[in-house]
Amino acid sequence: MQNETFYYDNKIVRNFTVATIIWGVIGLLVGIWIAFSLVYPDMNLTPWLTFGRLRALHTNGAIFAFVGNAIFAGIYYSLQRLLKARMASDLLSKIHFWGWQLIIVSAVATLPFGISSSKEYAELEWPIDIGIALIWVAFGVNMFWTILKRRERHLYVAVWFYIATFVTVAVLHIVNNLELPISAFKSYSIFAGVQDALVQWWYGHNAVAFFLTTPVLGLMYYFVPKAANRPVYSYRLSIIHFWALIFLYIWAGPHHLLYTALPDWAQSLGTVFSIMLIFPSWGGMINGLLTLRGAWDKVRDSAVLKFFVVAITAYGMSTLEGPLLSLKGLNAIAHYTDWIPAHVHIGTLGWNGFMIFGMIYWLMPKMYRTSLFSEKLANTHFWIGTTGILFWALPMYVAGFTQSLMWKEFNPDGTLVYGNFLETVTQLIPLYYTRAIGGSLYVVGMLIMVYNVIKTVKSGSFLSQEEASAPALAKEFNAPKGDHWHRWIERKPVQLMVWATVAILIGGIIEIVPTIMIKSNVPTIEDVRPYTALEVEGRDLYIREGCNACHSQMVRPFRSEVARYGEYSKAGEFVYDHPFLWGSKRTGPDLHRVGGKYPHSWHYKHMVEPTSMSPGSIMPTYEWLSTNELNTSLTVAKLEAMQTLGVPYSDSYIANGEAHLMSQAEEIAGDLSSQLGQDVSPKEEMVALIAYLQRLGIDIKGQHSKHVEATTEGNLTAEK
Amino acid sequence: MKKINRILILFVVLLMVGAGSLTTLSPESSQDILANPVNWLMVVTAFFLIVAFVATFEALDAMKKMIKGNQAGAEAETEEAPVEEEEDWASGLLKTLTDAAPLDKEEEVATDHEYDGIRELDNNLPPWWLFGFYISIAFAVIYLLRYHVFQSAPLSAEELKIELAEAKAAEEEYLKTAANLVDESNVVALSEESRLLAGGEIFMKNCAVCHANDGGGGVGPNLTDDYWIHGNDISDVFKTVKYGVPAKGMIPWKDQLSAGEMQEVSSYILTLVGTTPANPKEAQGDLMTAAPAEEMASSMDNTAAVSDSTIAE
Repeated sequence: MQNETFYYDNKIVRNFTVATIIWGVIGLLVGIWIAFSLVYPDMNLTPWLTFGRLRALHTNGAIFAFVGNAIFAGIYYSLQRLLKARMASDLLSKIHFWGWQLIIVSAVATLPFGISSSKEYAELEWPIDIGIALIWVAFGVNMFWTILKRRERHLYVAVWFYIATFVTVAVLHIVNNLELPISAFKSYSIFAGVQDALVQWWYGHNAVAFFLTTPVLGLMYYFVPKAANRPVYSYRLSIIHFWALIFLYIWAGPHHLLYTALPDWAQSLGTVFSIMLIFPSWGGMINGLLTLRGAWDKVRDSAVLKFFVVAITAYGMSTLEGPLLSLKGLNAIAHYTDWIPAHVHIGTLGWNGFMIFGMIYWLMPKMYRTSLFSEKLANTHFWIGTTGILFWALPMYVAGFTQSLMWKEFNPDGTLVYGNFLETVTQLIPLYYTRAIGGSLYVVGMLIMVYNVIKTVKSGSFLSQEEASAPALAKEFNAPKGDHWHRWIERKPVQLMVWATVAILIGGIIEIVPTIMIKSNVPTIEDVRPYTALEVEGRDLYIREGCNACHSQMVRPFRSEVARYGEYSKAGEFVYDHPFLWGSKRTGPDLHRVGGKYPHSWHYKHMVEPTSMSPGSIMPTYEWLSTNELNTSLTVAKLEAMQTLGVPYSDSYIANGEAHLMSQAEEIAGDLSSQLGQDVSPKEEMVALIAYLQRLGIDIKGQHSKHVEATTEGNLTAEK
Repeated sequence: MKKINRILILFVVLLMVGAGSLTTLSPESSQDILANPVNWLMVVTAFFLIVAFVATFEALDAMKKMIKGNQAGAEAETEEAPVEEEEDWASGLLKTLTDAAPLDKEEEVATDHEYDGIRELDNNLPPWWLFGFYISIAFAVIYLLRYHVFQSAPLSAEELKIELAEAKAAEEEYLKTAANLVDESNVVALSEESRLLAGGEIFMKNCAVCHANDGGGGVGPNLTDDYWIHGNDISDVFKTVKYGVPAKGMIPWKDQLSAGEMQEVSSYILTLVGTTPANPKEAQGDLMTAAPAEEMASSMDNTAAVSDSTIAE
């Protein structure tokens, strides 16, 4: 067969690489900022610089901007070469690149301003969600089109991972972002409470799996053997670990919700599937590390290989740690503490970051037809980066362990030793400081890389279109005798995609559908009522300020939590929570039973100046809540949306929504004015937030204020 | 490399045994074991002991060879070759566990796959990996059976009940013997300097945010005047501290302070009566001038005068 000449598109790879570097530095600088703001709370200078809002920007930036752009760079480079074909459509490549950057910019333009749907790693509001879906599809179409036009009969293992990534992220993203829009910048999740939590963590866990893991494993399967010039260790290991990984991963989401109000059977599935994930994950680690067999002498000299080795090791460590954290005993200690960020950052800084750095150092000189400006600087980057990771993670392990033990320590007479939550926080501040230093070291390493890359680029000349040639695929193909059975599906990309989709759908369907459809999973609590109009607005302020970044709303069934917070949280209490706000980290105390615990004035003063009520507190000040006027233009629309989603507001309540809101606001403002001895306007945002906080977790006591009774009033008489 | 592999495998085996044995314990006791830093320390120590053990062995082995080499001189070369071939138990174990084709025989396991210059070997699945995978699947089945079919292990709500019952028993046991057995029916105002000082510290840490450092009041009422909402004798104050007045924002402290501490802080609060705070809050509640102790009677008139003047203002 005659050879065809074609050109690999390096330009798109270069663009994504540059975007990776730029967004990587920015995203991690935001991380450093918020890390230091836990030590110096005064750094929460303005509303858009507060921890609660910037945390989402950091996580989204690191995941979707830094790692996202990097995996696209790596995929566009490796895919073309593994398939011996140029990307099918330059236009789609361009749309993908610029569309993705636009999404990142829109994240920067919304998250710091409190435009957030509150669901972790999916905070972006609905118009941006639609944009992400469209761009993702453009990427998928381009990839699949290229696969169909390939000149290589079989798909290499890296491509299997790319396909699984495309399919699964699409499914996860769409389901978790099903929301009812109220305005261009506001929507409510169609799921509530327990169901929303399950869907969110099915998404959240698998965003880690299918955005931070599978595509990066694909990159590993291309760049590690390339850089080491060694064959991949085991083909059969690739097969079994690929299928086992994608099938098992999807089930493990509930391990984020152990000891919560999620039904026990779902929690147990989360635990056992996490344990079963250890070896499929390690299959990837083994295949990566053992590919370096016989090349260890090169590791000593090559910065690229060093980065890869530490990355793969970090992958192995965090994929062992994760399942161990899914065991109830360990989870009871680690959850809600700094142990979890430590675990996460071993994965992101170690596995993702170091894979990316290794790839960049290998890729840029290749595309610029030169050698790396300074191998020595790259090695320096490696050592600074490694030190940075250690400085980041080790103090946080200590912090998590320390705080957890403090939370759980009782005096012999049954009282908590550290009854004041704040004591367990101030204890950690030196560790927070060390962590911030670790993060800074890591970014210093990245800046060294920036310099090195710029110097490299300047010394070379960019090969935008790289010539290659290969024969087109013959129509007929007869599989050789004795071929491995799996070769069949490697020749059939559509079947591969279909089977991968089946594998990833099973777990999600078995866990999510029953939780939504079977009523016994969320036992009804008679006394739970919808939020009042004012409380709905207050709840949206809670979401806007990102309070859930530091405060959970989930009292777990432990003696230590029942003693500290009150009755443990029940599934039935969250049925009107669109979206759920259980949180995943307690930098501050749990708030689910905060309703009625303090007087209004305590909250008011605490919000204006946290240290006035809690000396030593590291919470940001929320002074602007007392000067901003509450926007009630959408109140009725919000209540209507909630009604559409099944919250039993009566029509008459919605029709008089604003009046109901004002009457409750006036009552609270009146109380505040007399308690504080200063005039408090009922129109302050603060009043709405306080109304919400005072409502939290009190319904089970069965005493409802007249404002709460009003929400369903028309309905009850109608029913009777 | 071989050495590192050996250590790694030993560690993995140890880890598996450890994790396996943990699962056989009840969740509470395994939690206790995990919660105890001493146990963690022991694991780390055990790991280092293993590493040290292996390292010592290797060193001894190397020394043996060196000495042998010196003695045998030129003959050593011919003698040593078969020694190298002979495998000690560890590398034998390693070979069984990894089942990897030796580097020089790699071509035997090579496939004909080649993608952009990347070739694929087809080494056997490492047996340790495969067995680990089987064990994890067995773990999953046993776990689900145990919790959801045989129900021989407590689910979370049940676990809490057990935990609370145990705690209650332990508390009662403690209170039987402890001198700490103070409640609202028998509490007396303390006068020892040291305990009042302790009460003052508790006050600063917990009460001052609402009642001000000097007790002058803020979010909460003024504690220095003679006007009391919930009573002014030690038993009343103790009760207010212990059970709180949730409706008015006073939180119950019974789970955060011990009975002795509540007694200390209640006693301290009573010593504040009659002092002059920087920013006194207006009087709330009823005028109660019955001083709890006789010696305070003399200062009573004085106190009343201050309160009156506050009201007058």
